[in-house]
Amino acid sequence: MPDQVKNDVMSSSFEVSLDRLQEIVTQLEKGDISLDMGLQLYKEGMLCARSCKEQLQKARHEISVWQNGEETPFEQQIANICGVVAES
Amino acid sequence: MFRQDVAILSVSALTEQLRYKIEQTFPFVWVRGEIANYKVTSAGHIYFSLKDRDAQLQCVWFRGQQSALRKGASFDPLTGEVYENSAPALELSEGLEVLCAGQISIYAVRGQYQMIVELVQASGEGAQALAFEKLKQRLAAAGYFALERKRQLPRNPVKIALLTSPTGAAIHDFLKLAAPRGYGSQIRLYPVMVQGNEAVKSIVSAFALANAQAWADVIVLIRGGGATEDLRVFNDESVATAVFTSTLPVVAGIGHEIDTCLTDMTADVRAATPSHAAELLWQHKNVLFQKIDELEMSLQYMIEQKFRRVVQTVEANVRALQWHSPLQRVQRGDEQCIMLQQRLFASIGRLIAERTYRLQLAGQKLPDLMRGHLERYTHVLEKYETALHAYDPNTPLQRGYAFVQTKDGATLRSIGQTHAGENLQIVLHDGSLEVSVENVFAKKG
Repeated sequence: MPDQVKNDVMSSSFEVSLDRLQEIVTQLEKGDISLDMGLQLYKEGMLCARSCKEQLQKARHEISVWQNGEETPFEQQIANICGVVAES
Repeated sequence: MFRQDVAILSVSALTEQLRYKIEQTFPFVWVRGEIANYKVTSAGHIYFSLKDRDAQLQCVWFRGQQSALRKGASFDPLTGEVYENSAPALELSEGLEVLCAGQISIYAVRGQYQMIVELVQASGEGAQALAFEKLKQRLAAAGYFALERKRQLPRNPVKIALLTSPTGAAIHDFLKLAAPRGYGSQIRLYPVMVQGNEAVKSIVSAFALANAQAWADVIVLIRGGGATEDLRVFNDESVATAVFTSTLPVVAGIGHEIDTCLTDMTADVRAATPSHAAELLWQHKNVLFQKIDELEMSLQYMIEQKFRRVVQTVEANVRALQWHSPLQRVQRGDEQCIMLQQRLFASIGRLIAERTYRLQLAGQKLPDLMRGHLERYTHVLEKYETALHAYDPNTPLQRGYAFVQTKDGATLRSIGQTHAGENLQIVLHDGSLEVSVENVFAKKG
């Protein structure tokens, strides 16, 4: 697989990767593509799956607070409030 | 004037009739008024008047009916259904405005109509409940709760405007349930007051701000459980209107599951609790992991299938190719030659045998056929001979017949062929006679 595709996949958002994975599976299901193409899609699909899993593992909600006309991070307060960050 | 035909009633009878009529007409009514002449007897019965500017109504509240007073009770002003809650017991006192419910009856002893009270409610509370109902109906009529205007939540929203108190239980529950869900959203908290006098204003302006920023995919308004009084903010018309007019979809999770308020009813999606709001927004990561695993397995299966098909095709082609190779063709030609040769030999042998047999068969048949033919012809000859004999002119002569000839040898068939004096010859079987015709006689008749 060209490095460009690889980079693209690994830098795509979770949702884009998941959609692409779904699309690849659908395309392979149709079965009217060459082995070469199938193999390429397979590699890309596995990469998408890996990217999705990694992103999902790392995914954290970012919490900020909007006060007095500006946005400030809320991490510390959240940690204090319910230990979400510490837990996950 | 005294009239015989009119029944005369006793006071008791009349009063009884009146009591019956009045009790039938007012079996259960709500009356609002101010308490006056408040008295509690030693037996625990309460006597008072309800009065307004122009009238007053005697009331008696018997001890047996006062459980509501003691334990504290509430009621639904529309259905009259009474249910207990934890509100403090009502302290009745002179001048207090109350809502009383009960039956209107007549106290015969004093010839006085009165209310037998079953429930007493602080007037303000009842008014509030009525006002709530009116507001609810008005908002319903304005389409606040209409299902057709409810918007769908975006799937796994990434930008959340969270309107709640930064220190309440609600944000704690919400974030705790949010942590293992979704795939990383941005949650922007707009701190608001969720009870007290400033709450309505703070919520309404937070709605305005979030909508003006138009940053979020969805607005989430949450508040933990509390007393009915604490949740009053979320029955406020301004708050409901802020939800109703919000251009961003709104999820509301107010109080516990049993609490339903106008804000909940107006929101696009009603969450039973703040935790439930988080569950509605995002799928659990486990579900997402499972989905990815399933897709991965499909991918694996598909590519294996593809390989299997390709291998099968290659094998089929190899077989086809081998079939058409020159060596295979020569071999196949040899085999064919040998086979044809064998077939040829076999068929020639068969042919010879068959012909020989047929020849033998013919040889056997020939003498029989010849004999048959000869016999047939002999028989025919004999037949002809017999027939020929029958036609021999000499044969009848043997039996005594004769025939007559002229001198020149013509056979005489009629008397017309001769005449008297002619010489004729009569032929017999053993010779002939020469005679002369004396007379000619024609046959008579």
